[in-house]
Amino acid sequence: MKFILVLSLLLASVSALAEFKHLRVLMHSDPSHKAMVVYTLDNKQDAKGSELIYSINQKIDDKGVKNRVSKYSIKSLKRGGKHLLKFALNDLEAGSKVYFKVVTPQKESKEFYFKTAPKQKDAPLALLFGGDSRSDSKQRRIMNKKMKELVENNPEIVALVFGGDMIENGMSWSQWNQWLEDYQVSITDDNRVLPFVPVRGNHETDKKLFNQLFFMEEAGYKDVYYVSYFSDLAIINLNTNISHLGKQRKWLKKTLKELSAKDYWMVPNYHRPAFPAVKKSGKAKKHWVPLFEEYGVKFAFESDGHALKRTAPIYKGKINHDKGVVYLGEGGLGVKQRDPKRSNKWYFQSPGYAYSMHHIFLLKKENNTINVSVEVPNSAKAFDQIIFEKTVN
Amino acid sequence: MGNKKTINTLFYSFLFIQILAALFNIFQYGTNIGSYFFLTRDWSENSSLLLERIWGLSSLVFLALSFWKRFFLIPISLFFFSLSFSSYLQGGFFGSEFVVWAHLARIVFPLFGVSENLKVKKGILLIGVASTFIFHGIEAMKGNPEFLDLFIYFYSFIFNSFPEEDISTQIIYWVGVSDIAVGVLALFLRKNIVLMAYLAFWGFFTALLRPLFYGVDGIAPFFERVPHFLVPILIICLIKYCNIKSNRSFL
Repeated sequence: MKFILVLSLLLASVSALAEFKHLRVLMHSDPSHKAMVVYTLDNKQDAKGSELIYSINQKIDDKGVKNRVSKYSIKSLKRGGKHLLKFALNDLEAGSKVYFKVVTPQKESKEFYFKTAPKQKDAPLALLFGGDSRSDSKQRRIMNKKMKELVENNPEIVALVFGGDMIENGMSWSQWNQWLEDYQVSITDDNRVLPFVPVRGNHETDKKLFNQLFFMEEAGYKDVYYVSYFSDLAIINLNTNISHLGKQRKWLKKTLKELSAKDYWMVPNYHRPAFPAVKKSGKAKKHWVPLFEEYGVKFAFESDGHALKRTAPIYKGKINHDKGVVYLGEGGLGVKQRDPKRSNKWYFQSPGYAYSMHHIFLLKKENNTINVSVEVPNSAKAFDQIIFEKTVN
Repeated sequence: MGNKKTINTLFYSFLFIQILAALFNIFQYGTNIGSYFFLTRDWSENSSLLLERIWGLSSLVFLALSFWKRFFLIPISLFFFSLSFSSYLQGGFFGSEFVVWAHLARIVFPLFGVSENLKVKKGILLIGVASTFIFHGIEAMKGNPEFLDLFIYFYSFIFNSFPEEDISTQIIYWVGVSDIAVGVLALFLRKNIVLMAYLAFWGFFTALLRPLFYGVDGIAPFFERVPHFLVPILIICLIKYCNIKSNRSFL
């Protein structure tokens, strides 16, 4: 009898909010103050009466004195028959820990937390960068585990900035489902969730589904190009799936002009590479790279090729160690890595390189220096370190 | 038979160029044949590349053999089909869902030389070019960003200023409508030389935009699109030839 009681209690605790799947935290343009906590539900009804209770910089108060509450909103996905439960947090404090749990009239979730971006320029800040996690769930989990280790060892990490191609077929709910399941591996042992900043790759073919999953329209970025501000570091997320020459280029020029005038670090992040290690150059080379060079971008993240690469600093089609832009990439978060056929191209001259190797970039900003390290699975040591110094205008 | 010889030379020369352009892609970058048919099935990268290259190079062998037996042109058509079909299966680009239909002119082009029957030849070519125009038209109507950028770039090349994206999208939409219209018309007005000449002109012009836009990287894409203008030219030749002699050995 005692055994049955214990077992049923155990089962009850396991099933607590079991219907709330795929916990993720999304960040878009203002990761210092805004985030979205999102779950996937099988039934809309399960959301009824649910609330997200959260607390800044301290664990959730059992007495509820200092807790804040976010009401839910729900929307149905165009594919898969699932529903997204979203809690929008719009009044967060910069550089804080946000503890949260979901409570329904019957049950409540475990308590999780994430960190917001600091506002002060001199505050330590770190981000993860990577793309192309499609096609291989097993390797993707290995990389997600690596992210978990990195977050545990580098508490200043705020988010993962994704470079696109999360899954192979953007129209397949089952693939999205698997990706979201696999992402749970990145949650640390002390329940820290790694928020992510979404960017669209060429395999995210279903624009509407992508926008639904990552709340792009609600965030105000239905065309998926926008700036994410991490103190004085501006991640310029671009969309290589749409016109490079139309509105996006106009916006990019205006954005770079404004950001450079305000002395921001400007880091473009997009999917299809301008200086590839594997495939042909994308249109970014002709239409965006001249703008990067004009406004003093130091480095950019690219994905798509399925290889690890670092180019030499490039300026006007030549290597230039003073003015050049370094292109880092290009997609190693799980997809099978390719042989970098173009590794003998001029732009891979030392200190550049291209290898077939799963990887993730860890960017650390301290005052006027950014240190980008190349992290690889099954190794505690960084494969490479690149230091960028800010040029003050 | 000057006509016959000219057409044969035209056909074989451009088929050779089309194959070379495909081989350039295979050797320089790799295509979806390797990625989809082999790499995603856990073959090693080297094996995938090797098989893809063998498959590509074999089309040159088949081209040589086709001078002996014409049915060796069929595997060349299959090679082009496999390029498009693997792209369809791999996906990941705008319009990938109907890429086989959009590439039908490239796929059927080698079949021109297989049959002796002029009606069969003409029928195959007509279906190929009509399908290519109709499905490129659909892509344009759906706002293919590549077409949009080609238009914006061409406009800026001529007028030295960038047009508004919304207006460009509208123009591309109507270009798509006209592509579909002429594609459908081609199936009905099968002897209309003016219509075929328009198809040839438009096929050539849109292929030419590639090197204009991409520079050196656009040269291979231009030659890959040779059938887009050569197929209507061959149809014109057949229309003219049919007026002189009906249903005789051609190749």
